Amino acid sequence: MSETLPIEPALEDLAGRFSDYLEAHMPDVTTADVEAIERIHGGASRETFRVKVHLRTDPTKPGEHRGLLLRRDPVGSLIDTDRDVEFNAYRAFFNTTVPVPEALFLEMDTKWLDRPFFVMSEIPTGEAQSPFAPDPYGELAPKLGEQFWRHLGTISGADSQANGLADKMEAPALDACWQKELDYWEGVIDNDQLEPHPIARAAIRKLRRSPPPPAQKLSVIHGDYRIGNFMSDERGDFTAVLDWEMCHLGDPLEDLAWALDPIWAATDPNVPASLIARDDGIAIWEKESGLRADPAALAWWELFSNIKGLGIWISSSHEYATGDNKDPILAFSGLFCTAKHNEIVAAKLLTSFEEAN
Amino acid sequence: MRPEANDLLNGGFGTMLMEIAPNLNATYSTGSASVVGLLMYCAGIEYERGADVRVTENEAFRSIFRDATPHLSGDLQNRVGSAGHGTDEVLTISALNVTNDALRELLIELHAHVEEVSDSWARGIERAILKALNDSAQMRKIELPAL
Repeated sequence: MSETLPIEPALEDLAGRFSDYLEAHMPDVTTADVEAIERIHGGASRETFRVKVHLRTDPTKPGEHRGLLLRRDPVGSLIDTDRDVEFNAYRAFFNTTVPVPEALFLEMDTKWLDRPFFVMSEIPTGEAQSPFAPDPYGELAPKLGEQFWRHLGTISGADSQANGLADKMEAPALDACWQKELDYWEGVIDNDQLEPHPIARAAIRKLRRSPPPPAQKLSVIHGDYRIGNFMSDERGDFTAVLDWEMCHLGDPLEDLAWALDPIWAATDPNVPASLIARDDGIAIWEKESGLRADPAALAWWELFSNIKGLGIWISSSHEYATGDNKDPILAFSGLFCTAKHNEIVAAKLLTSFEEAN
Repeated sequence: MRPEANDLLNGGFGTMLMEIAPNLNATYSTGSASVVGLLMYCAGIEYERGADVRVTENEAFRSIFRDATPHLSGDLQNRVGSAGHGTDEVLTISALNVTNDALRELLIELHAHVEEVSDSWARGIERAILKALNDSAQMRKIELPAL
């Protein structure tokens, strides 16, 4: 963020109130001046602001300039637990080998900024790339690819009892993970569809006819681990894994399958996230997690991932068309990503049928 | 109308992405303007092909219904048989959507039904449905411009 930019008039009130909040919640701080604030794209489900504050503990001393990220609930949407989930996930993985920002404040009282919000430290270096850019990483792709799959392996192999998430999240039985997730996303499609979706419905029936084996472990599931949700710097180092809004406990193959989804591969479906070859990524994940990616079970979870994606895009369309949130990214996701996942699923269903008959 | 709406939308897409978005000061506004440009691009595609896609799909679904009707019975046979002989007389997108939605709903029901039938005719209808869905997905896919 440019330090020379003035605060937009539309954000002056928010800046002042956020300053008041910090001064009330940082006991050692006497003044917390918001020097700059700007809204950034940080997920359409929550308003995200990059804030630069000047913290002083002693008016006679220069103080500290600090970068923060403010994530505030949008007007009228989302269940209350969502922000807790993300905040707790950041807390659980902070100071581990998986780079995440430090979660600082979770505030449910609407008197401060009208809606609940949480605050985390800004990641000073790195940026996220678009899933739809043709070659976002260039020669850094192999180095980043190794980290991408290794970090996911670390998350899948993490002990949810030790990191505290088991106490804060529902723990389905190992043989019920698939059904919990499929029920949830089918319900989203039921509630939010603006038109009938015969491709999704056919895939859901297929998934129910042939469930996967029980999960080999009840893992922490990031829920949206993909290109676009991590930051990396110009040297090819991961600086943050972000957007843990859909974090939960479940079958570790769920996260692996989501990361492998061809929708995140702009040019070659066998190079997920435009990083390294699919098989190489799976091998790194297996080694780091100590888990196995059984091909048949993974295929089930990959088709499930397509349905989960369709659930998200259908929900985005619904939110844009009928809700208060007119963020154009919701409309774009609803148009482009629905079409893309329908294309992927329809081809899978036809191929599978032809092979079986 | 010349230039046509898709030409206008494509022109707007270029202006939004190349001229307006880069000159906005706020990061969020730059991102939003770029996405609005992409939406204009998508809308241009839909303007050009929207009616054709729906009419083609509707006829493909009706053809499946006509083939399936003799193998069905009861209420499902009546509804599938009736839907198979419909036509698209009003070609506005809104009118085509009403018909398309109804046909898709019935296709879902027929598909679920034939999946539970072990006869060879059912496999033939199932293959035709999956082929029609694949064709539909291909017709509706959106190729993003190289940026």
